[in-house]
Amino acid sequence: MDEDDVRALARAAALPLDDDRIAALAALLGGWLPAANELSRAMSAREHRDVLPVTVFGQPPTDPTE
Amino acid sequence: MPDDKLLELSLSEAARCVTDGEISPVELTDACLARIDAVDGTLCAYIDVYADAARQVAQAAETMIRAGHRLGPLHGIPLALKDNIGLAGLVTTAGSKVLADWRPTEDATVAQRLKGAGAIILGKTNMHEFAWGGTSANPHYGSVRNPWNPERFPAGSSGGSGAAVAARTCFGALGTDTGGSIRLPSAVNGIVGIRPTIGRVSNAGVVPLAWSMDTVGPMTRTVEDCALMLSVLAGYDRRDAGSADVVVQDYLADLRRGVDGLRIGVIPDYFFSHLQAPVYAAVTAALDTFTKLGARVMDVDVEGIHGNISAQLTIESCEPSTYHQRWLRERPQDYGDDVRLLLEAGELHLATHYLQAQRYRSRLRASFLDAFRTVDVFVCPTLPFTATKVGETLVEIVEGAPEDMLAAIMQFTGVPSLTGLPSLAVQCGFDGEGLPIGMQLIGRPFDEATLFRVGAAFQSATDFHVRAPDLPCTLAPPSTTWPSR
Repeated sequence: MDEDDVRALARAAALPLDDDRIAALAALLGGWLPAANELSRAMSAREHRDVLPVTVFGQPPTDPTE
Repeated sequence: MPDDKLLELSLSEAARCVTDGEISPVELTDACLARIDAVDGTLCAYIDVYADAARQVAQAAETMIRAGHRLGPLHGIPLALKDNIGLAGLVTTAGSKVLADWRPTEDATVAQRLKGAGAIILGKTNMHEFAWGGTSANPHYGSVRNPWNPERFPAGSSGGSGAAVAARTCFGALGTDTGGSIRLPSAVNGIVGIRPTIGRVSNAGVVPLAWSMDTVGPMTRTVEDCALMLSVLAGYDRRDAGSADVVVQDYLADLRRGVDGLRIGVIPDYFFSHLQAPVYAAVTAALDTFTKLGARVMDVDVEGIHGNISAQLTIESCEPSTYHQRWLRERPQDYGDDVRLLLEAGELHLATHYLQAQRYRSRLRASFLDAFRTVDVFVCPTLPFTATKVGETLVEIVEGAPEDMLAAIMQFTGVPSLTGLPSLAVQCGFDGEGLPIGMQLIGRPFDEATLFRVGAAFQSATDFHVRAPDLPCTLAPPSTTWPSR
């Protein structure tokens, strides 16, 4: 993750960033995004194919007699 | 009773004394306000104090008690709320400049429930800006300081609530917890705090950080007090779409049942491999105490636990950045440097990163639910180090190897946050400099009662919870000069 990568991502997100923000973000994301990619790789494994994200609505069991 | 004796009462003891007419809510409130005046110039734990309003409510509470009326189990008890919890008509800043003038039109559900049970709201506590950080170094309202050593931080984000309770300025406080923001300041300030099961306590009227992980919970000095406050707060709320319609346990019923025969799981490979030595010693000593009390401590392997820090950072980045998207573009200069950087970073993740992190949560939760077939509760440190100096952004867990504060501080508390499991922080020792150490108890979904049972057994066998910080008092302006909002 370098400063050009940060500029490109910020453009894609329509997030205006002054130059003085770019270096700090590159340093931070340089640690975070490789770890996120590693987690994504692990969660793409065959044994996790059926795992749902927690964002899916959970429907509690309902009692039809109620 | 003199003020210092009043303030040493636990919340539960004070409530019993009020009910029995032995002490008055006015006495309690005046003692707390005087204590705030004496110490908050040092601690910076409060953003706002409602001295006049609190005295009026206390007077009314006293009149009611004399007439034989008691609103509920918190009747006449002075409490504080973290300043991201809305109170109708009163400024709720969330520790930010962005919301410096925001006045909600109605109380948060948790505030309604506390008031309905008779509590007196003393004021709002300082916090990490928008709860997005673990130090409570707030650029707008001042850095909160630790009552055990004001040169040290109180952790966060509910650092003001933690410091306020530990310093005996109130009998309990509310915090909010996303990645550890109740449990971290509870540990670092030597108090008790619970992150309830996700959905157990309503978030309605609370300024969000990360919707899928946010929870409100009580912070107190004893486990019994924490159980009492949660019994008032817990329960379904139709104002909160994430609220769980699940029966609330009697949290006080089993407090004296002990832990004989209970199965306590530890995960040595994760929670005990990267710690400061005093933290390791205190938590292993706590495990020895449980063994002596009759519990069975066993090593357990939880599949997939490594990797949780990345999942936390991804989710805790993306969700806040979504909430703040408009403000970040319209008034970025109104954020503190650290929070602005984190909000910008959250905009630059991919959707697949976020969703894989949410899928990881499902996997980790399933692993823990499997493990709960063989254990009743897990015990681990709350965080791997004791309080650092105010303003530090790096921490040395291993000497000579500084680490980023944010990832280091939530590496243990993030596990319950991701899995939605309840987690109780209980003080369990002190390091060589007299700084508190906390342990974390993790339980089954909606089984907060077992956590309170285990925590109460520990407090019945130890005295860490009755020790008080020897806080030098510096006279702050009298409470009547607090800014009127």
